[in-house]
Amino acid sequence: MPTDMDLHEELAALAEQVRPSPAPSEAVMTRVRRARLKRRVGASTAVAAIGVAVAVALTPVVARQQQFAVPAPDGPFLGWQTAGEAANTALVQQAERAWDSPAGVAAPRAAHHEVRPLLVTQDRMLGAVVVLQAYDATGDPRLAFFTTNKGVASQGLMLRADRRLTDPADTKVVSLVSSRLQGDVGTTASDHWGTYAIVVAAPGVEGLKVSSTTIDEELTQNDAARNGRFLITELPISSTALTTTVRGYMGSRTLFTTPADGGAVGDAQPVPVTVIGSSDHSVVVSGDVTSVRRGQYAATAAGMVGEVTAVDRAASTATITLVTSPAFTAPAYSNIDIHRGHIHGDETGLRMTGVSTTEVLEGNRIMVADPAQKDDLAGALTVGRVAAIVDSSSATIKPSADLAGLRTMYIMVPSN
Amino acid sequence: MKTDDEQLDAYVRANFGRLLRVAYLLCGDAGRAEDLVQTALMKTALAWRRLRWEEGIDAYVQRVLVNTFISAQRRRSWWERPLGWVSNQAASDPYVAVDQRNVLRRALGRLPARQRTAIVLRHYQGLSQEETAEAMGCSVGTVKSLSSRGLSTLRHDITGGGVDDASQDRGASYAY
Repeated sequence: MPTDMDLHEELAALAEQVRPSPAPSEAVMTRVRRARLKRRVGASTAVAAIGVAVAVALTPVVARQQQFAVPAPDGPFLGWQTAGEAANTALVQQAERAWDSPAGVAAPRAAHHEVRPLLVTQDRMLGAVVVLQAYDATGDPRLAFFTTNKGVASQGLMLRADRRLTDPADTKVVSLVSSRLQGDVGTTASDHWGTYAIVVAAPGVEGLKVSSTTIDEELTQNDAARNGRFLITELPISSTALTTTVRGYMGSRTLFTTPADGGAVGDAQPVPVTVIGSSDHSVVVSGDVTSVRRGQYAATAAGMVGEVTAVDRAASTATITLVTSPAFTAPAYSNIDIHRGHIHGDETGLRMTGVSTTEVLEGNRIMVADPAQKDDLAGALTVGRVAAIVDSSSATIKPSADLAGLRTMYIMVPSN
Repeated sequence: MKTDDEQLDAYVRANFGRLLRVAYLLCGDAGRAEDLVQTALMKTALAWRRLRWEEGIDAYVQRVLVNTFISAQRRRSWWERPLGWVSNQAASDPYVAVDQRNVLRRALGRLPARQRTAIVLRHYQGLSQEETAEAMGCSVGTVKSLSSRGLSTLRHDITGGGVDDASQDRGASYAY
């Protein structure tokens, strides 16, 4: 990475490329004159409007708060009009072809029918983005997400996620969060902000906001959004649907706050489990443990909880050794600079060793690669933050998950 | 004594190029940069008489430019962004010969708006943390975080990112 001086020089060289158009001051003054004219017209109109407003104020009027209601379902489908470029039928047809033959081999007949587009748009990073509803070949209503393969643009749209539709009478928003939306199906991005959230909400929703526990608090916007009923936004590469929350607004009113729905092909699948027993260093959980194996990690939206160390399929239970257990150890790295070390539980809590503590600071987020993601960075779990530097190569870590108040969590299982 | 418009015209002639270069680093697009600067100067012109002269017009224009950019980023509809943003930039820019500049421009463009703004103000314009906080309307602590994050992401992007070979010796277990 260049030094500060190098960066300044490189930015300066980049900026020198731009040249102003001829007579920029004339363009500015033209805008100024137009703006002044608008103000004068607006002032005249305001004077007249004041008279009307006074008359209205004298008459009691009960303001009716605008109501939000999910549009009536279209059979088993969401009854939402298409968001974005509704008229771009070429993209919809391209997505349909990708859905019918995701392996790239032409299908003898269309597998999906009664296709209804929910979103058709272009994004500067993902390329074309399309979300479709349709019946599949077995008659099940499905929801699918498509983005371009940026590595091979000629491949067109790729099927990224294919899910069963939820109850259309109750669904206010659908979403996808993944770092596997830009290259070949299932491959992860490599840049620090390589995860994307695609969110589409019901008509009537005026703004959306996506937040993630992987983003530091001071970077999170707190004002209500008025950015429309669909949103495509970048997130840190460690973000997943588990760590992401979607909020919808009508004006300043929050209509819903909900976890993101799920990930893309290749992403780890979170299996929900419930705590049914606990000890100092472990918890026993209950749930569908069919796909659960020893060595998989458990987490909440806040962070990593521990590692599966035993599975009892007959009882549908699993034992999770907590990250603070002396029996737990894993490779770890600092999020901001990827300085590597190991984390260990000990009698006092959690500690990171084998890392130069001149390179990590108090408050730095510490990550552990999720084996179910089959990638070092994508979907990595936040195990905690540096609480205090102990010596030149170790630091104590404050776990991010609330280990004392565990009720439910998710075991991260690799996709098939 | 010059009229307000004559003073404004003189200010625009003297500073448009400088402001355009800042806006270009923020927007990544010459057309949008020109629009951003014109909008910021128009807003400044409307407040010309009310400006607190001891503050200096430059600081005011800077603040308006930054706020207008960040507000526009928040409001922009996603379908306004052209497909193939990077390739369009390369085709229209006659000065691009050095691959490193393209790498930096793409990396800069991928930063979130506030991180990009902090990087440009701190490392291109050379503003102090306090001056940057003033221009962005945030705390010095936030400027530090934004700069730190932005530099980290730029570093990762420019150097290619990803997992280095040394990671293969970590002994991580991938249980299925």
